[in-house]
Amino acid sequence: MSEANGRDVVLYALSTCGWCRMTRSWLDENHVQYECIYVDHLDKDERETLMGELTNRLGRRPAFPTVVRGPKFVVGFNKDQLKEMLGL
Amino acid sequence: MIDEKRIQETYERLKMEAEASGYNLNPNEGFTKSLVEGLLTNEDRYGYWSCPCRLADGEKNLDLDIICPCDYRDADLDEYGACYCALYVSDEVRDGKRELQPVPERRPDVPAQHAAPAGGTVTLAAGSLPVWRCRVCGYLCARENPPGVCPICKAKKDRFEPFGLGHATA
Repeated sequence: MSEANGRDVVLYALSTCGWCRMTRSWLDENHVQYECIYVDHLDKDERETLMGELTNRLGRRPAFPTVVRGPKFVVGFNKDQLKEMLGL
Repeated sequence: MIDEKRIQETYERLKMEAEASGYNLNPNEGFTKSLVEGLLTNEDRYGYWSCPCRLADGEKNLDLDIICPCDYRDADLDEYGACYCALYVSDEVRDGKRELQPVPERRPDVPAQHAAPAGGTVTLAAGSLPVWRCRVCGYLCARENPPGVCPICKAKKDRFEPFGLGHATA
């Protein structure tokens, strides 16, 4: 999967989700550079393509937020797992 | 953007309904109102209250199980002290005795169908009224058709399924 704008970290989120909002705030507080993609804002074709890619990568129906870094990912706002993946 | 007044009115109604039936909204009012805004956004998008923390398909039949309150709320409240999006929380979380944690997704990749149970449906006094089960809160009633709105959790008619022996023995 190509990472948006060449950035290392990508947050896949829903614009309506409280946990996704908390994840954004937490990434900002920790000065993490990331690209945020609101999946619910994509048009149908883009969304289906992306969900297919994410399903393959996660091995199950995607859930949000999902933070991806290279081959690694964290599903849900799990701070300990995010810290480990991001080297914080 | 959703109008502040609409968010406030919806929030107050939800809070009243929740407390009247033994549930609690998340006491973090700012967080809860942001979820109410998400629900109203989804109402405008899809025509129904799809969970703000799950990606809706947009086809109601495929989203029925994630219409708020979702089919998974009560099980998540029991196990994690909050529903998936944390709109609803348990008494322990409300009272600060348990910390709010992210809730893993329990929705199956392929949602269960609202089909008649394999073991046959239960009727009261054989041959009389069928029994209907609310998929959200488990409320049971014996009548020709499900009620328009669940009297316990306010889920709509399409969230009821025929209650059968498959459920009774599961």
